[in-house]
Amino acid sequence: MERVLKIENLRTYFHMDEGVARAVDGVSLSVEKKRTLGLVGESGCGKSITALSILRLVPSPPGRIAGGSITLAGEDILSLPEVRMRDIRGKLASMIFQEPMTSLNPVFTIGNQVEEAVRMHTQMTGKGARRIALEYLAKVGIPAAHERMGQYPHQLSGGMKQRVMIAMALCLKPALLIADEPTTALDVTIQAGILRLMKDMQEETESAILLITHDLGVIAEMADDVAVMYAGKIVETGPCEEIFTSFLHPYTEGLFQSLPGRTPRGQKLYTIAGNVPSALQFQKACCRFNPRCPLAIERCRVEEPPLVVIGPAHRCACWVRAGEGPL
Amino acid sequence: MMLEVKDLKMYFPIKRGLLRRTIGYVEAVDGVSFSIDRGETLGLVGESGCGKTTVGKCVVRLLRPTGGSILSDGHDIASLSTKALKAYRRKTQMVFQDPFGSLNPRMTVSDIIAEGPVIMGEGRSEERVSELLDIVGLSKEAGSRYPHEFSGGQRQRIGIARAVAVNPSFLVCDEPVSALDVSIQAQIINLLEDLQSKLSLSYLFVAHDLSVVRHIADRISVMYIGQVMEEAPTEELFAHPLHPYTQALFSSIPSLDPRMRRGLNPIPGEPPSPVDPPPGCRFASRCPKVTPQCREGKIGYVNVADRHWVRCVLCY
Amino acid sequence: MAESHLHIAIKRIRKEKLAVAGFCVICLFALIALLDTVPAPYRDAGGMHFNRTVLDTLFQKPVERSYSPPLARTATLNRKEFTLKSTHVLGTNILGEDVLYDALKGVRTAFIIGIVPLIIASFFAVVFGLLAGYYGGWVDDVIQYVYQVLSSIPGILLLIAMLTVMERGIWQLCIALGVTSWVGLCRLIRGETLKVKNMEYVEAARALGASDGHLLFRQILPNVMYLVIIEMTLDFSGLVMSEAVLTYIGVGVEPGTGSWGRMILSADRELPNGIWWNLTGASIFLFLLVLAFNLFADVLRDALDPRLRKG
Repeated sequence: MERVLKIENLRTYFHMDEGVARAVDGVSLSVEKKRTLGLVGESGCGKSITALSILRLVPSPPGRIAGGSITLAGEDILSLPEVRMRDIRGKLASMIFQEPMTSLNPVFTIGNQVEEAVRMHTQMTGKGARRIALEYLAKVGIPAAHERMGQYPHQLSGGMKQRVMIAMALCLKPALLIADEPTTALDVTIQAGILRLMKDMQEETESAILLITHDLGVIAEMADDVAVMYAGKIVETGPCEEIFTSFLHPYTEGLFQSLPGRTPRGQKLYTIAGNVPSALQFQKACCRFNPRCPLAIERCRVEEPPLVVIGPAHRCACWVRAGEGPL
Repeated sequence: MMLEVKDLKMYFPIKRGLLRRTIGYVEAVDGVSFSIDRGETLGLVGESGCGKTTVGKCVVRLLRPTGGSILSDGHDIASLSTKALKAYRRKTQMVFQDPFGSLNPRMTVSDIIAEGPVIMGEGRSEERVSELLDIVGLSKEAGSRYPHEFSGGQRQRIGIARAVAVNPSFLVCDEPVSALDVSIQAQIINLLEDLQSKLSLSYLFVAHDLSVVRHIADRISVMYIGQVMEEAPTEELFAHPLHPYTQALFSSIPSLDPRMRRGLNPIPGEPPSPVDPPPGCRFASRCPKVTPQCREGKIGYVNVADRHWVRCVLCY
Repeated sequence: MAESHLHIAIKRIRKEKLAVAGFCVICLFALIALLDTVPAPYRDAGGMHFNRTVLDTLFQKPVERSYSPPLARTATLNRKEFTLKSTHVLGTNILGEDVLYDALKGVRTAFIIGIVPLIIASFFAVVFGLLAGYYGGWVDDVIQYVYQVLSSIPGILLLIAMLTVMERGIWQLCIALGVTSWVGLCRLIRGETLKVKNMEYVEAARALGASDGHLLFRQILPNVMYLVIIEMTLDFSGLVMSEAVLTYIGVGVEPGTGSWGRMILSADRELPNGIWWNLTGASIFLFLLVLAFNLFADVLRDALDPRLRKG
């Protein structure tokens, strides 16, 4: 399957007064056409920054992409001039965000906003752009799209707004769609609709999807492959089924064990001790999960474990569980 | 019976014009009933706009109900004046949802925790503050720091300490873990369960996350647009959901097994507005099993099995 | 160590060199004003009692018979040259008074005019703003009516009317300025109160049984105070300059009180005679103080802005 996105050893750092925050520190992943990669992790792990880095939207200063490479549909993203990047954003790769309320401009109609996306990236005039806008608003399930095109964001519900965002993101059939917590702010019944929509649209536009979320349920429903992120690093990756049934990394294990559904009523929930670390914390080499890891050994405190292959397309970075790789 | 809510109503008037005439009502809560025994946890679930938070606020008397009664140990507190509520406030407190907005940024943690007893006339005791910090798992030094120096999970602990400081017997927990990461959620849920047994508390646990509620609640009430659609003991509800809305809700939850993808069947349509809603069942416009009978008159809330109540003509 | 908001603000301000410089200049001026407040009375040989301040002791110079440029040794009167009694760093004005001394005497006035009216205005603004924002309804309507009417009357006319009724004097001027300038801040506080009263921490206090008074002063007020501080630093310069204008039109401080306004006013008679140093001296002092305050206030505003707070 054709590879749409390939990230190798990406490092995005933030230069703060208190020191250098290594928000993304050596992340590698890839996504193919028509497939969905779920990037899962808790707040502060760097998954959103990874997404912003792909589109070079990291606020700079204080952030900057310090190293690595990003290849999107054959283009070397990190070496492109800003002019070309503007071309790419929205056309080759587009992004939808968590808060539909703040992602749409309140003073323009929804029809206008989708049209603008079309006009910015193609040669189309008003009429042609409007036609495409209407087509996609109907496709994403906005009822009576023709009338509702003239409505403003505040007249729509959260779920509807997110559908408009999806229309804007997909109307130009991008090779890659980045969805950063697209349903976290929505009710579960609305979420079901949005996820369903994303899957259906993916069939049509053949886009690759990078789905970023902390919700394992969403991952289970949507992702073909999964990458688990912690403190700026990928700690485990593999096909979705494999990860859910045979997870190996202690952090992945902790995430699954903490789910309320996994523990019978009346028993205490499993918890991962301690708190999520700040990105300023790790200045020396070590396994970043070691302060909270129930299996930590001495090696974990002084050497960073590499991602090693432990099964078909399944990789894990852990001295105890994965070691140095297959013998 | 610790708390009994009967036919609770909360209507918000919509006012327009210079003279602020009332032109209609938002029926946020329209006839909600339930009861909670000592030591029990009732889960109140539903999606945004269903009125569950409003119910919680009525129980704590942050809002004065428009109608209905709230019986606490037999006394109706729904229509008491603010002065007369002082005794009730000691017994019933609230844990809030937003760890970032529920703590006054200009007060130190000890100030925040000590404020309750001070307002109730008990004076300030540093010993008590230390004790409370300890109960919720924070160090003594935390007392002299400010909320912004803590993480979301730690702030929720502070909020819980504040609620528990006045020795209540009943807590309304309004989405206490919704804003937290999964691993931190687990810590806070454990803390709440711990405190429940240590301090003999009863909970009204308002949430939209069904897996959390399934773990912590003894019974669950499902709300939709201001009314309770179904109520049953937790496992009974999950095993035999009767109301079409409950069924739809359950089928929208993503499973945690990629091999068993449900295919996610979203409920079609949009929920009706709670402003002057149409007669009949409020779910009628989106219900896959709707019949003409559903749109007529008031739909009764009926006991159909052991402690299992449903508001649906198809289930009687 | 607890990190209060003051700490955070100070840390942020320290990073901006210009703001720190501004703050130092303000401190210097404040020192001058302080020196001018501490009394150091003395009796001269003839038994006459003089009310003097420490500043007078340090900087008062004898009055010359005529004007003289900065650092001159001699001056002319009626076409006759005469030696000056002492060195005047900024020269003497048309009445022979030392310009530097006059300018220094104006510092205390500037501080009083810059700060006291704001304290008065803040009092009204906070009380009315809190009440209007918190209670809403008819309380809000009445207060809004009052300040809308007040702000529709041209400020300067109101001031002149008030000052004509009261005697001339620095404290009367402060009251008049305070009473006519609380509207802007009141609106801000009302707005912020509207926002803060819906915060969950206020609800939590209400659930604990807090009275309205407790909520207003213990929960809401500390969270709107930053607006008052910002407003004070912003309006300081405007008020200091307005003193100059008011003196110019004749309703400023009474004669005998130091006043940059009066120094600027005398440029009327002095400039035609080529006397530029009086106006320049007053202007430099005014400019320095206002610039220092603006540099500092800009950074202070950003430092106190709750949206830029971490966490």
